Amino acid sequence: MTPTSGTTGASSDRRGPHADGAASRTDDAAPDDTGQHRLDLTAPTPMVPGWRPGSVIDLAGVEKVYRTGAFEVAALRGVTMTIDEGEFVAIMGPSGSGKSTLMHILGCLDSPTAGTYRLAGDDVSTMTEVELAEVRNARIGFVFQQFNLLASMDAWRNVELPLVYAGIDRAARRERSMEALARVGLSDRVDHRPGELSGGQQQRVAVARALVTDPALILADEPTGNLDSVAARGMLDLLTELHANGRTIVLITHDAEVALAAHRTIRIRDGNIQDGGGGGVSPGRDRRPAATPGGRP
Amino acid sequence: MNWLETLRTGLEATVTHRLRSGLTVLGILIGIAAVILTVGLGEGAQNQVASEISSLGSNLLTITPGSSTSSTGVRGGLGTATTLTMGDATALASHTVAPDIAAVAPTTSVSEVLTAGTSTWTTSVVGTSPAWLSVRDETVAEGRFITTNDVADHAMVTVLASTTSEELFGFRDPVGQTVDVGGTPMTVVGVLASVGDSSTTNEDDQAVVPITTAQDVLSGGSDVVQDILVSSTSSGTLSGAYQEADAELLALHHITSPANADFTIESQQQVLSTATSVDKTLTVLLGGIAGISLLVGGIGVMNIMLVSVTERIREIGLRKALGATPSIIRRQFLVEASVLGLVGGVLGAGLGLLGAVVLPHFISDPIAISPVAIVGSIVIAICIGILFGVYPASRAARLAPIDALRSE
Repeated sequence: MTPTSGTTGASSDRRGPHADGAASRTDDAAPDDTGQHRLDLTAPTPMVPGWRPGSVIDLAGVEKVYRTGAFEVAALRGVTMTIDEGEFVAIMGPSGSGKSTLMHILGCLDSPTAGTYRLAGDDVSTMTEVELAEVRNARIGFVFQQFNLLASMDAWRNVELPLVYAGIDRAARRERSMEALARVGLSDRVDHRPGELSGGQQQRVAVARALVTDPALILADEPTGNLDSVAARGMLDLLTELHANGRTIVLITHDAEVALAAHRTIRIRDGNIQDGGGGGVSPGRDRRPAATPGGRP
Repeated sequence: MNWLETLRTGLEATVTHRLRSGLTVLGILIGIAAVILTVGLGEGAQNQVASEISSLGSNLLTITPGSSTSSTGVRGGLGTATTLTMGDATALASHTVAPDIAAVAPTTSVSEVLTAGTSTWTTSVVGTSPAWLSVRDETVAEGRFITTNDVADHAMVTVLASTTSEELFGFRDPVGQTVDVGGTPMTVVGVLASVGDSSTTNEDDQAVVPITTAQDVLSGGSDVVQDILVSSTSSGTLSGAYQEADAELLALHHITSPANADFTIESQQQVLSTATSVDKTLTVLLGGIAGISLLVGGIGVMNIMLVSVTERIREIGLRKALGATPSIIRRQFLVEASVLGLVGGVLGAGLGLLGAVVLPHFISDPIAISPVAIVGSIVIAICIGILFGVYPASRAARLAPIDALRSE
């Protein structure tokens, strides 16, 4: 385990064994020799000028404007933030704050109107739809509030879905799905359909699906929103455990209690970061409760 | 994601939505079965007419009294006109006058009640000459045919066709027996071989008598004949025979302009083409109606696929979030649509075949099974699936993942 830079030192002690491909990204020498954009998702991510080594998410002046008829609604007004590799960050804000928009942009489900977004070094704000699909497939693991499992498929078939789109053969898909399901503690439920599982178990299947591609980032959008308090606790414990194993996790929530599970909280209101966006320099990194109302120093 | 995976995904989706897929398949199925059956019916009718007419003899010309106005084909005075005589027939039989004519058979026919013992049977009694046998391409199964002497002697003899013989005498040998033809006792001298009963003008049900006898006792003792059957020496000389017969009859009847001819000469080819063209029109018409039902089935596929896209917006959104590109989504929906088309096509072809085998037992018309129609309709069904799947598929592919995921 190598801390990627001095700025991540505060959190490095909580990062567990780091066996995934992200470790190789800490090899922060070799800037991209051509300077051109390359989309090679299997190789270690190339260095891009302007990219701070070790950061998974790097937003600079990101704006998003929606047009509804004659009206223009600015959902994001110049968001700048950094999330480093191995961090567990909560993005918090009330409804209408722009956090859903931010989540869509972080998840490469939508493109910013202005500004740049670097995901694990690559500028994704200018990518085409097909390239974005590849980025979502290889680098982002989604966990949704609604679980979004396909009801007609067994748990393991749901988990293997991203691998299908990655073009991995059937035997390897099954093996990796089983591993991912084992990691979330559902080895005995692999052949169950979502309808035969409890809400907590369904969300665990969704987490396994997010893990199976070994992504640079796990993006959880209100993952406890549809769970009872016991299952919600279990889900947060699972995320904490994954983080302890070196995963970078971004948790989007409106619930301060849920945000407590994270080690840093980024607060967003009216399309602006209120605090916590400053990457390694944020005081949020020291695991202080994020529930303090009215902003933080 | 390769085609095999896409195919598997598409198949799974159709199986998951069984009822909906089943109903879509039903639409295509009915269309395809209708196309196969109507085309089969039309072709069956054409084949029937063709075989019927060729069974009459392909070198055959039929000369009938009355003229035909060439533009409308309406013939004046048929049945009442008595312009053809035994003399005409004799003249045409001359090889010097008409070298391309092989045989000439004057005929006159009338429907009569035949009685043998307790059996009675109404059939067509044909008075003709010995040449009739070769002209009509018939053969004698038992006994003999009428001879030149029979004609000269006005002999009270008759030759029965196979069905007529069976109806009157059962399986007894009719040769030498007496049969009462319209009140006149005649001796059965022979039985014609069966030519099969596929035709509607049943050639296996008739009785042949010498034409002189027919004129004496059946049609009122005149020299007049109803029509003259002429066979050419080969199919290549048919038009020669036609011209010779035409010229000779015009001369005999002292007619200078062919437009005023008081007779009509028709080849079987003309009869055939008229009859089959009517059937072809019918086939096209029926095929058109069946095609419309196929189109409706295709629109059904599109409708179902559009519903499917709307209903599965979340699934599409999820698949896109997990890395499916627009082209993969498009392919998935296209595969689904074409699978529906294929299954509908194959089942429809099966139903059509079943109908082609079973239906002729209930209706009198034969249904031809055409491999071209079967393969063609399956191909059409797949094409319909793809064609009507394109729009829903591209709609699905265009959905933005966020909009799709947000929808409830």
